[in-house]
Amino acid sequence: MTSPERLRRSFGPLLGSQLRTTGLAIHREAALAAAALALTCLLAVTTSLRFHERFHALPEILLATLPIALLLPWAVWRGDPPFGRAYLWTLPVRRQQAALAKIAAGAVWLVLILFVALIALVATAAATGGAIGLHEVRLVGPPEAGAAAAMPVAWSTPAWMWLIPFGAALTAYAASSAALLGLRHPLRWLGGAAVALALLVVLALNMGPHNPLYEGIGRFAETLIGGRWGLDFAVTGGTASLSHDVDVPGPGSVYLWRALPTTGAWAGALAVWLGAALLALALALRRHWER
Amino acid sequence: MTDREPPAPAVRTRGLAKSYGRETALDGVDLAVAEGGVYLLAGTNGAGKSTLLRCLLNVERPDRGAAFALGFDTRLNGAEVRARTGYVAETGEGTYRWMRAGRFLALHSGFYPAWDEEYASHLVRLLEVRLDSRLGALSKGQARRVQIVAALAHRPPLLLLDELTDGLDPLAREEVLALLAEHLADTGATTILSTHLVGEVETLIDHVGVLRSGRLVAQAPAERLLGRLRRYHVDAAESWTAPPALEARVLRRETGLGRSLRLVAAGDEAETAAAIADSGARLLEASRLSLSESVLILLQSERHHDFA
Repeated sequence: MTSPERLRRSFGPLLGSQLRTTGLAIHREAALAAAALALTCLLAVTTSLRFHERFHALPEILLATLPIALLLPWAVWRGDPPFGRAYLWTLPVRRQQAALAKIAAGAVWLVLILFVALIALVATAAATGGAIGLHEVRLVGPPEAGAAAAMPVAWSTPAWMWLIPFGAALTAYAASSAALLGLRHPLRWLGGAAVALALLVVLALNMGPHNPLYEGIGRFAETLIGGRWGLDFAVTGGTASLSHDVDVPGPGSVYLWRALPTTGAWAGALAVWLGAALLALALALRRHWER
Repeated sequence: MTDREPPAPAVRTRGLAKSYGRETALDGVDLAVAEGGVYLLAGTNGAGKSTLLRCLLNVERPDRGAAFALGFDTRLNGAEVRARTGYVAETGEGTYRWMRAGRFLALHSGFYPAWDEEYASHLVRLLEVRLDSRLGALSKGQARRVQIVAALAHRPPLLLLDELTDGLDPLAREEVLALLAEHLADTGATTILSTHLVGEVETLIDHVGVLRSGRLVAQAPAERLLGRLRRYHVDAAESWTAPPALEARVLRRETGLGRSLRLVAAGDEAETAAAIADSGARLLEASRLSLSESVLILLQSERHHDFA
């Protein structure tokens, strides 16, 4: 009889095999996405040339890849249903190790997709004579003081802001992977949660404008999205939360910034959201844990 | 006391139980498979055969009980068991539909240090596996061939074969069974075979277990099963009833024309024949049963005490 010696397998080859497997699993979608990206870039270039406008490459544009990050786990796990008869679970490695390798492989592909999108964005901007990043003067000051009291500050997109889409996409990917691995019927749960939330909002709206439920939901949403550790800081660096439209004398309006985005605010919020997503992923993995 | 202890079973389970909601898949299964043995796991659809095999790999986790394979507690060392097991799953599990067969075998081989490339190529040639076809485009039988190559090419000490020949044409079945016989003779692998087609594996197996509604109702060496089950052709009056001692042995009663009656009974042939004679009936003939007949009778009968 075989002696009961423990099986040892390093993570590297396992990750390599999962990179190949997941690469093959998503290759059709990847080809479609690449075609769509090429077409979009071509349209952007032709439109810019036709109307003599420059296309500027901005980090926010890369946030268009967030739906891809949310859907990617479903493509990565195709053929290996986490709660079904998955080939992955029949492999001679611990289930959590196999799952981690698959998740990591998906993350590697996601980063690669973002890099390709970034290169396409930069190439499109270069082809139209546009800038890489934003160069403008921003009005910074306390919101209550108004635009007249604000200080004009020269602003160029800092290098760290190009990392924002990567962090946001990885957070979305981790959260989506957690839902897929942790819930037997993730779509039912997510759909149920969305319906419950919608009903709650409708109920709050029907209770009048100043009821505690309405105000509670408002405060919660504000904290969740625009708060110090809110989603806006993690996903955009706080662009929406830090600025608002103010009217100025004459036609039009300007953006007034109460503060400019900083690395610290973004990194802190990202740590909170990515940490929460990774914690959810760890809890989801516990469901498949093998001693 | 004998000089030598009987060898420890290569696979055994103790009170293994598994439920899916209200449905009981396994109910206190105590399985024992000797090292190098070929064990036929018989049972109707939904009897729990596939669940039992999956529990042995720790792919499915039992609710209660324990399973041991090749010296490992499968719950603690599932990966180690899987590393030493060739598994042919009943369903399409074990395949990626978008992957070409050749790529799949290359991927699979990477997980088994003992993978024998030469043997794998031999199996691919013999089974005429279409390496350049996508797994999703293969017929059930073709996909089965890929699974068989994946299960055998690393010459594992344990084989779990769930409906091995399912989807194969008669010619391919014969080839696969001949191949399996050759493989077992060569490797001496402990094998658990789950199949409805007992007749085609009759010559391979040496032990039989019968699962019914998640319970292992009978388990015995094939030799013992064949040796203790007989069909007795009896000439008896229409009013004849078997005495309780004889009735207890009867697993099936087949009424014939007129006074002719056939009884399938378990136990010693001479004792059964004497019991028939003592009851006033006349024994015309006692005949052996084939293994598939024996298994079918055990599947149908409620009395398994002789083989429990």
